[in-house]
Amino acid sequence: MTISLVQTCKRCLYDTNHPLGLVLDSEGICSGCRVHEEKDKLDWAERWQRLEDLVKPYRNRDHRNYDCILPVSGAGDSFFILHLVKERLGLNPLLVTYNRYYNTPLGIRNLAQLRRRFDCDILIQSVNPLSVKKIIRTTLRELGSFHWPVLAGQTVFPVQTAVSHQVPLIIWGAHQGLEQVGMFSHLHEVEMTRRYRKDHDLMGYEADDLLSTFDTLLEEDIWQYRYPDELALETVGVRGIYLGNYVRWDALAQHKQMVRYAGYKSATMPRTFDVYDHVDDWHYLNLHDYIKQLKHGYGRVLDQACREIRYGRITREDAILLVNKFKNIEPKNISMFADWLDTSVESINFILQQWRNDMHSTESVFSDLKINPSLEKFQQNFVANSTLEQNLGEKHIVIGKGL
Amino acid sequence: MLRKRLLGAVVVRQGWAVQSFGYRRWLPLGKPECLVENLDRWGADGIVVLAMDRGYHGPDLQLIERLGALGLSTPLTYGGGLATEEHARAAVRAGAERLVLDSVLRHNPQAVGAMASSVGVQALVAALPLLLGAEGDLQHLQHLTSDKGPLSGPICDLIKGEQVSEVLVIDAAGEGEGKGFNSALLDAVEVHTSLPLLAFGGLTKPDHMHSLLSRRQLAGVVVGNALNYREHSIGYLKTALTDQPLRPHYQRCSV
Repeated sequence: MTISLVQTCKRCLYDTNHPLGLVLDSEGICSGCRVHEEKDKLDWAERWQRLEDLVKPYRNRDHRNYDCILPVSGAGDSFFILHLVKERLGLNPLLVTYNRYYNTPLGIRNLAQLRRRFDCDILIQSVNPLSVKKIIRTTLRELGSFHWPVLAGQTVFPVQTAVSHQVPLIIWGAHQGLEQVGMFSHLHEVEMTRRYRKDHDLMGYEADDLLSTFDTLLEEDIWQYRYPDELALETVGVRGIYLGNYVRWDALAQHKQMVRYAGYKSATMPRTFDVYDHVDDWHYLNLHDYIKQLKHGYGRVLDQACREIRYGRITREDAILLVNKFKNIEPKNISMFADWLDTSVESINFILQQWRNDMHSTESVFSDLKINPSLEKFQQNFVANSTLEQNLGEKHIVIGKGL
Repeated sequence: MLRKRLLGAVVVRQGWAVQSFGYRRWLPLGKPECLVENLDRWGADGIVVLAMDRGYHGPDLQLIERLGALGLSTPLTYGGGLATEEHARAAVRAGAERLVLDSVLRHNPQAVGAMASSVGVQALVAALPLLLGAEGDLQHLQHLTSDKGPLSGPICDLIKGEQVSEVLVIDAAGEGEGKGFNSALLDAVEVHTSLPLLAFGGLTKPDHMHSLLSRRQLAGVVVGNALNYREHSIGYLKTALTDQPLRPHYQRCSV
């Protein structure tokens, strides 16, 4: 690897250490910010028409199969994606979701609201928890990630379903690499690839890489996460498209719209100002995010702050204040996770220290958040209308039907 | 006659695989190993890795070794920082089967003979990033400095004297633009050599490759950025070009 100096974008807060890769141009502006500029330049009506044309061949005229596969969860952009697919494109989707086991009551509630509000069929995949825990113990120790099974499951189950149900079209929301670091232009109309999944979602380790690299796992532990055979994919003609290439993607605006329109509910999270993101998972914005901070020097709050800078809703200076307010907050619910994993909090903490990267300072530049009128106004965009616990307390909902 | 090749290019800058746009703008893609492994699985006829910021620092041997450790079935060609005979030997020892020579052609063309003696003429490919000037004259671009000028006498002698085995003709103006390859560049290079040519730059769609592949002297087309936009891009392109003398498409085993 070539050694180069770390540089920070002059517009947002990302630097060239970003794990997805980031390129700064001669003006010191990052690739993510440059691609974001397209959002205000493209003709989105024309792009929507391109989407209409793209999905046209996939409509089932005889109504004997689904038109597409739609990966969903009890959080994130699922409500908006389903609204676009079912109500604006008029497609009949099969919803698929991967059971992450550490579901919040709010996540279960939101998922039930989603399928009832939009009246859709849904498939839920629950891999046997003994294998999941075995994989987590391995990936936490070896890769510093307990989220591997969730990332692997939610990116492979839709593809497996596309093959098994002979429904070639998978529709995803926004492309993370495009939105965060400008990996592609919207005009490239990038589609789902196994390469991206392995490279970025799975930190370079597919299921079989885990099997061959770490001697703690067996075939029966990992086979559920295996990507379908190339021949099967080509035979069915599986392709995964991203709505973000055809719709001006704005997560905050979409979430607020779906709160009003479809009953999406949000909750306060300890390590960020955003109340809409990942409310279905007890640990994603807690322990997982804390590990990300230790390994890479930044957490989700910085992702969200960069996003908001690019949309012009917060200044760079105010975003720094917000990030510094949240970035060193200790994660909650570690004991809940440790109990579920049949281990101790001390063991988890020991592993965390192995993954601490001292290159990344965790000291805040500003110790206290100085509230100013512009920041106060900005934070009014993020007012929660519910709680993670609902009335069920702080516990994993391993399997739940919701309403 | 050997069938023609569809090769995948991976451009590497500061250790990352990137999309390159006219040697001026880049977008990050990921780890070179993941892209190369993917091209191998897709059944590319060759993989060309171009580490474009090596300058005179020598080849990125660690990168080549990591790629070699993947156990590829596809021939691996490497370019970047190759300036001496020792560089060439080290790159081949690390796992590269063929070497792309660029800056050395301009700055020290005499070194190419020593390289050929050491690793074999068949292992050497001359890369020529080219533009057409306002008068239709051929301009050779030095991408590290953006200098350009006529194709030098020593380079013409080198490709005429067949001290390399192929010439990688790069459409420097069209590189990354996705609007097709300027075939006038091939016309201009064919005047100087009878070596097999590879075309790289601007190739995105089957339409862009169709007419090129019917050229007698063209041995293959090299595609970079566009391969990353969809799944099974190699298969998609080969299927769309079945009426051309391309090597047939097949997938590697997926696991």
